[in-house]
Amino acid sequence: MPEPARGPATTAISEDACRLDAVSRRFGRDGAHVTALDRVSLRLKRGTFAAVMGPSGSGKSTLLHCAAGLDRPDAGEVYLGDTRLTNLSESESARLRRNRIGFVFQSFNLLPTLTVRQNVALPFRLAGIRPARGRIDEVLDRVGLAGRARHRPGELSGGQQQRVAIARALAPQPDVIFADEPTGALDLRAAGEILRLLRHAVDGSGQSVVMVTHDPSAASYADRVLILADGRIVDDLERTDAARISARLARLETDR
Amino acid sequence: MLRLALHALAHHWAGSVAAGVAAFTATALLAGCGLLLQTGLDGAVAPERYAGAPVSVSGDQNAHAVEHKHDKVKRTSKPLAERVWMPDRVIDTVRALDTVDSVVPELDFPAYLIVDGRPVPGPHGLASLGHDWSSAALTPFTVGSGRAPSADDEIVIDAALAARARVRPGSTVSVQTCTGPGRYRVVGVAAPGGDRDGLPSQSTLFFSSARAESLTGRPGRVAALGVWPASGVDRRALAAAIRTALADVPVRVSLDGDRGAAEFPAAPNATVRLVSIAGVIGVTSLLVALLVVAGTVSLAIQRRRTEFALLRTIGATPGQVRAMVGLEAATVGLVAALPGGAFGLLVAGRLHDYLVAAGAIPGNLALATGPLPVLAAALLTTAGAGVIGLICGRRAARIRPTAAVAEAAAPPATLGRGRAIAGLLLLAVGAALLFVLRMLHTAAAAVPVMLVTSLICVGAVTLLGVPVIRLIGTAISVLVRGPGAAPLHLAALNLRTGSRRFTSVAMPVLLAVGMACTILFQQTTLAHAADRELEAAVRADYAVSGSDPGLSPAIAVAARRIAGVTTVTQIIRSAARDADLADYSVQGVTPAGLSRTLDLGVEAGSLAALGPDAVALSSSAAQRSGAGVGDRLRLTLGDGTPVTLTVAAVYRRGLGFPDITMAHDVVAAHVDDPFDDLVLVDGRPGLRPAMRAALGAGARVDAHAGQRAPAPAEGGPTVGVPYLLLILIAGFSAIGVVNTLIMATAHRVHEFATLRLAGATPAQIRAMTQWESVLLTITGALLGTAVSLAALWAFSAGMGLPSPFVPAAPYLAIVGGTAALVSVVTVVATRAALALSRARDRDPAA
Repeated sequence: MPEPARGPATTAISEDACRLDAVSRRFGRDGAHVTALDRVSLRLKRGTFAAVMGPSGSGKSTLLHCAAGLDRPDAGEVYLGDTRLTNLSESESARLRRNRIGFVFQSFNLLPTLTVRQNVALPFRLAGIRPARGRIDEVLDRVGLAGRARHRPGELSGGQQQRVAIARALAPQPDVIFADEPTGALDLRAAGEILRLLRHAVDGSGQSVVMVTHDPSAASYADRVLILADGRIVDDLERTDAARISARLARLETDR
Repeated sequence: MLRLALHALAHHWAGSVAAGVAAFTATALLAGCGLLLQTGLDGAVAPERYAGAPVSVSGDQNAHAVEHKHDKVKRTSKPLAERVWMPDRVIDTVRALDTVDSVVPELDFPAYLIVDGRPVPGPHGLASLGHDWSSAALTPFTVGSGRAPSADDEIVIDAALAARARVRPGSTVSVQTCTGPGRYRVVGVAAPGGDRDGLPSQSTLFFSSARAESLTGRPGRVAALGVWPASGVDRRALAAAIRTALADVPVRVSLDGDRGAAEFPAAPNATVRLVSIAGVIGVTSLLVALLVVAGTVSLAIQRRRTEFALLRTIGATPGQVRAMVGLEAATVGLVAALPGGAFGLLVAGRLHDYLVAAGAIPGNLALATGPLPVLAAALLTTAGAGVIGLICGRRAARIRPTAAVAEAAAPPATLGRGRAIAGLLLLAVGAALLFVLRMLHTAAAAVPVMLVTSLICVGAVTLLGVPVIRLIGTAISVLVRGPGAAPLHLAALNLRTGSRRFTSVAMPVLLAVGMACTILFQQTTLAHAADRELEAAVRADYAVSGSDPGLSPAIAVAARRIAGVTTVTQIIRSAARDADLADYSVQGVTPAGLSRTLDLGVEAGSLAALGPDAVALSSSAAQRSGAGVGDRLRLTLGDGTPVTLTVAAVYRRGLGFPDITMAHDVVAAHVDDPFDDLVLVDGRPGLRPAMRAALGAGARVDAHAGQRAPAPAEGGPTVGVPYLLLILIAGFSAIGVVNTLIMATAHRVHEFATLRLAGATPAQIRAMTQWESVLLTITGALLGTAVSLAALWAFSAGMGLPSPFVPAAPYLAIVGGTAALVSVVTVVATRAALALSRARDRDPAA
């Protein structure tokens, strides 16, 4: 597929899967502004599982949307590998998303009109190419839904639907998978399955994952936990357990 | 994208039903109109009687005018209403040509067999014509049994007529002609050959040459010539030679299929009318159907926002989303258009019959057949739906990927700038048109302008309606408080915040009420005014009317002889054109004693002066022609005869009566059917039995003449077309109302769930939506009525009427019907949405 224009020339392929340079994003109009992101800078190495946490209104989802090219920041630059996302048109951005970005929402991930197989194959279909033989089956097998290829989303449980969403995100072997509260609507067991899948994608295939979550135990799966408050990154933790993450979040409240 | 579109369609098929129905109906109508259009364009009415002669010569059926404007010469021609007769000398001129083998002159005049006191009409109620026997060669007709007529009281009739009237050679019959009934002996029965008993659109009677000449009422003139070429001469060369020879006479030389126009002079005019009627109906149906499709698609896009946002997230470009919406719409269009096109064949037949019955087209203009109009209609509908899909798809394409997670927020309840500008523009155009309407004085011009004005005003009100609805919502929510008023209060609040949504739901209601009122009450206003005028004008005690072709002159003669009758006024109708070729309706009335039977409301001059050289004009005719009392007026009568008459009077009652009133005998000498349309009789009371006895079974005698006298059809033969449009618009609007209401309610499942969580009972929610439907209907009906009243007032002012006439019963029926429809659909949709919200409660993941 034709690649969009690359960013400034580099002598070596970038080590960063995803990079934000002083990104700002404001919402609202006519004086009533809300600053969702305030000059946020971030570099994420390839093969990392990063979690983004923070109280509601801290800008977590906005950060994700900007990093994935779904939203355009008001200031600053966003890079996906070597590709600058901030000056792409809607069409170029869409083409990019097909094979280099995977996105998983909390819910409403699947088209109810298509079967599981058709949903997973959708990015390829939009690009007008056929997936490699057996690729869809392989990735469905990886998420443990090999026997459900012909079912419709309405026939699956919440956890199964999320697994299909992840399969779709994995199928084109993207640079980064962005997940917005992927376990938010699931029970404990289903949540664990999802998180283990994401972890496995990073460990086994060298995938990069950026996950927004409010759940400290979900964040404990990550290599890196970024904590946002009021549109700024206030802390950056190395892989740690849920208790310490909880404690750090609680301190945010008292620090205010 | 096509497969995606098809999958989506298969899943969401319920939402496409309305669009499908609209597309089906539109294609059917379009195909039907396409066939009618083809009929009009192919146009040729085949010659029947003149079929045997290779070349026909007939009078030029057009009136011509030459205008000199700044060194430019502009020639215009307009069709004439009656057959134009040529002077006798053309027979000898053509006979003298050496390229001619033989010439057969043709005379035709109305001649009806009278059986049981009633005239026997031609086949399918068409004409019954008499001719000179020597013109039998034109077809040719040959005598089957009996012989040709030799004496003046002998006739030969065609076999079909003989069978229908049960007449055999040797019987004596009564025949009605322009001189009245006469006794004739049937000496033979003839047939036109080719296994036919008679001609398809006329009955044929043959008289002796001497008698035929006297029955035409046009001495020294001939209706047509059939010409055979000399051996070795091509008929085209013959036609050219004839044209050159007759260059100084206004004639029309016809060959092949064109000869039908020579035989049926009204045919070319009718085909033009057919093309325009078919065009109007076809285009209107397509446009209205596409409006419904646009509404459906927009609502569907709104409902499926999450789906579109998801597609964009996964990597669909805006162009791909647009293509998907376009393909969905085109597929719906195609699936509906194919059966619709087939149904169109049926529609064409019905439309054709309707138009023939309404007198808009002649019966012998056969309906064209063929796959082309059907395929074209299906293609147009499919393409139109696809285009609409692409246009609406722009909104879908603009949905941001992040909208998938955003709450479905209500769009702002303010007027967007684009909408405001477009709305004000339309309002300005509408206001300008209202001014124009005030200056139009004829129904023919005012009716289409009224329709367009109403449509534009409806559009303007819809675009600008958002703040109006918001205001209503705010007002009611402020006024209504207190216990038990919660549903109404909520309804008012919904109006206030969801003004855009409500305006789009109110639009079909507005359209239906506005257009229905405009069309219906324009007709009632005119009819009412005409009736009022007639009642005031007709002073006579009795009105005598008859079936086609009209009352023979003998009726008037017999009426005059009845004891106690003081005045008999004959009325015969025709048309005429002035020097600028403007069209006027004409009536010929008996001048003697006119004041006792008819009061035309004379404003200037006097009707006493009416005679062969004098004419009276209605005030609007006086205005149009620029003539006043005492002026000389140049007119071209229906058969092309030029006359110059002095204007004796101007009268104001021009609505119930034709524009020009002349002496009866002047008009009767220049029409195809010199039979009276109406005879008014004045005398002492109690004459009805005597009249019925004297005038025979063919005449119908009514006392209270003013209420029974038939008014001339205002607007001409196309008067039925507005009603057809009315039904169309009502039907499509109903589809629009149903669809938008259902989809708007389905969108509110989440809202109902929230309300129920807050503690609202299902009964309260149902009451809320019912209140919304009431407010909706009232708003839509009020605005629609306002729009139509504005147009009606302007129309009445232009036509010189005091005010529009809006009868209560039809108006209540329109509003009541709309209210009932809205109410029923709301109840059904709300129940379904409530059930859905209950299902959602049980399974939140659904």
